[in-house]
Amino acid sequence: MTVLSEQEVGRSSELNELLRQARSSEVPPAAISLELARKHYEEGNCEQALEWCLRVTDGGDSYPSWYGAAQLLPMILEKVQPNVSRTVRLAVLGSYTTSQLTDLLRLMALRRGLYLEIYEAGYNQYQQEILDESSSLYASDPEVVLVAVDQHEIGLPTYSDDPEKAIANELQHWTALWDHLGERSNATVVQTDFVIPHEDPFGNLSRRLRGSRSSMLEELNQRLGNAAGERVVIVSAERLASHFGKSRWHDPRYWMLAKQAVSLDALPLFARQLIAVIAASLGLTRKCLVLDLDGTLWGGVIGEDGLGGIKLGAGAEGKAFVAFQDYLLSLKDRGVILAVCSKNDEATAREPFEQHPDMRLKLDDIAAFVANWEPKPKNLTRIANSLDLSTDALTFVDDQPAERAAVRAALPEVDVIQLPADPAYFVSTLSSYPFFETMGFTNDDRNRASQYRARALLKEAEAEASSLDDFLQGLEMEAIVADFDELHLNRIVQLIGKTNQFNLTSRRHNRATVKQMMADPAFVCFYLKLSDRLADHGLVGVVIAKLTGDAFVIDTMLMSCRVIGRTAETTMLDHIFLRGAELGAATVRGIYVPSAKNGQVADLYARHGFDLLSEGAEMTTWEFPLTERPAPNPMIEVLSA
Amino acid sequence: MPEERLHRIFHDVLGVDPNDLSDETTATDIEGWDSLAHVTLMFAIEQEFGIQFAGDEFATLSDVGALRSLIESKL
Repeated sequence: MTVLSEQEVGRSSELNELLRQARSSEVPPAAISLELARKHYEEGNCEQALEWCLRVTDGGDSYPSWYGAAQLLPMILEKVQPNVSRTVRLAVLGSYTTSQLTDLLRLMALRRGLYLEIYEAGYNQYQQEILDESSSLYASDPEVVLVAVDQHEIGLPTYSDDPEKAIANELQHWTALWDHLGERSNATVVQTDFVIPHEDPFGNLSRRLRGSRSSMLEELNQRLGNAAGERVVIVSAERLASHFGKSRWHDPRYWMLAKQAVSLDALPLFARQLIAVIAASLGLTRKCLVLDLDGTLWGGVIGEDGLGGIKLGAGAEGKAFVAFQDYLLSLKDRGVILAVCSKNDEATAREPFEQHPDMRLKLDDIAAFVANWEPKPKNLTRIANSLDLSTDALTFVDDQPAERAAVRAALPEVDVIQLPADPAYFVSTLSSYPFFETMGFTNDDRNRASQYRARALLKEAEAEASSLDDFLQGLEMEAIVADFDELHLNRIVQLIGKTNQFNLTSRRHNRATVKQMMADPAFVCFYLKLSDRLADHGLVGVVIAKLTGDAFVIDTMLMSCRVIGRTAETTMLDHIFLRGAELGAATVRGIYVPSAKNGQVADLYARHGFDLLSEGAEMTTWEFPLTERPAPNPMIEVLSA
Repeated sequence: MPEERLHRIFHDVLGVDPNDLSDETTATDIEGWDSLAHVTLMFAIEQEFGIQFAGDEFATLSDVGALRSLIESKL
């Protein structure tokens, strides 16, 4: 979005006045963005209207403005085609009025590049819709089902003499609904947990009574989380409401009047969190947090104040920076990649990491470290390249408004977090940013930081090696190729959902579909794990192929971007040839479906000696006769699983 | 002044031109002023003026003038 440099020429004076107001703040307030959207719409500038309409969600959580934008959006969309990365069929099932929430979800989703086709069930129809096989819910063939229910639906009494039984019954009720959904639909289920009302006749005693309603609800939430496992995604309304303030989250007047279980005031926050989780369930999540140094990781300027002069460790501010670094470390430990982008001499910038006793972050924690005097947008692009990420996987944090503005203007796809003036609030600011949500916590997540760091180091080695072959030989790569199994299913589904670049067909099979394929003898489904002398990259390749007549057809072939350029695709093809031959196929057939991001694999089949069978705008089809199987890839040794 | 602020809220929520509003304007005169919009309007008014409506006051308002009088009675 280049809105802040929008040309004033040819615009009405009203519009120009609004643009001036918008420019006077770093992120224009929601009300101003909405005004601009309306004015542009009235004047027929629908693309700008759309941009400003979506920007409303960036300008604070004022519900009236979000409402206005959500009402305007469908009118704009009648005239202009939005730029989206995915279209998603979402079903919204609620125990309360969900109309307002649904409108905001559509708006927020589009802000994140998702176009929602929504089926909204009638008020409090969620059970009927789930239980009735012929319901409109199933007819809508949803990819995601949001079950938005609140604690009024819970039959638990104020006090129970047998809390174990009461909770077990309630739990059974919900898991049975999930089972029904799972049997009739392949959709990902997103369920909100239950906000425990502050009101409890037992007051403080309720905590000591397992049979008090508050205690039982708390236990129910916990057990729902445990029972959800990998099939259901939980969005914790209880956690959000506690943060927001329970007395504001639920207003009994609006409940009694309009069956609003979540107050209008809280809906923008709720919608943002729901979309973050829904996007994550589709594999769309931010991967890398890029950090400024001076004023962000420590107080002061290292180049001027020196090692002893920066604020870190001692004093209130020094402690605040340490707390921020601790939080960043915990983000890293759960799989967020950290990078540094600083305007400094490199040696000076590294000094605190190497020598300051109160630095929590070490150089090993940083996957890509860039310190120079070039513009930050340029350096962000360089960081993304060195990690084989696209810039829309980056989130940038900087205390300097000018740097943030430069990045917003040059790289609108990068998320920019605006730090508050006081470092004491850095942690709460970053933690309220929801777009690092992920669907699970695997060993791959734990090791991601070191893998990415090794990769960036290898890129340097690659530049230095005398030839590509020497470089690849020097990596001493080893692969494990094995059929899909339950243990690896999470990671496999995650890769199928999110891999954009090295993905031949971009078919987004969900968990249930993958399980069906695993059970079908016509399908061969295998993964590839790769390691080298510097890092274990974990599970990075996925292949699904099906014997159709005498052709072995590659339905899905993808590879994590972290190992692109290592020839692992050749090893995967070797294995495809092998398995195809075992099944008695005469040929292997490959399909390439072009997408916005997978241009780099357009020639994959050509490079591996496939013949072009047919060519069209939608797809190209390639064929390889199995009588001509090539020698296996010499760069990667395949170990048995 | 409450009148101007009230008209402003109608503009913010519904996009309606304040010049088109008068005390006699009713929900049928304004595109989009349905029950959902009404709840949003009431919410925005409560926030803007720092007042609270009783539950029964929400639904009984026939026109902009009645709404204005109600707000003024609470200020």
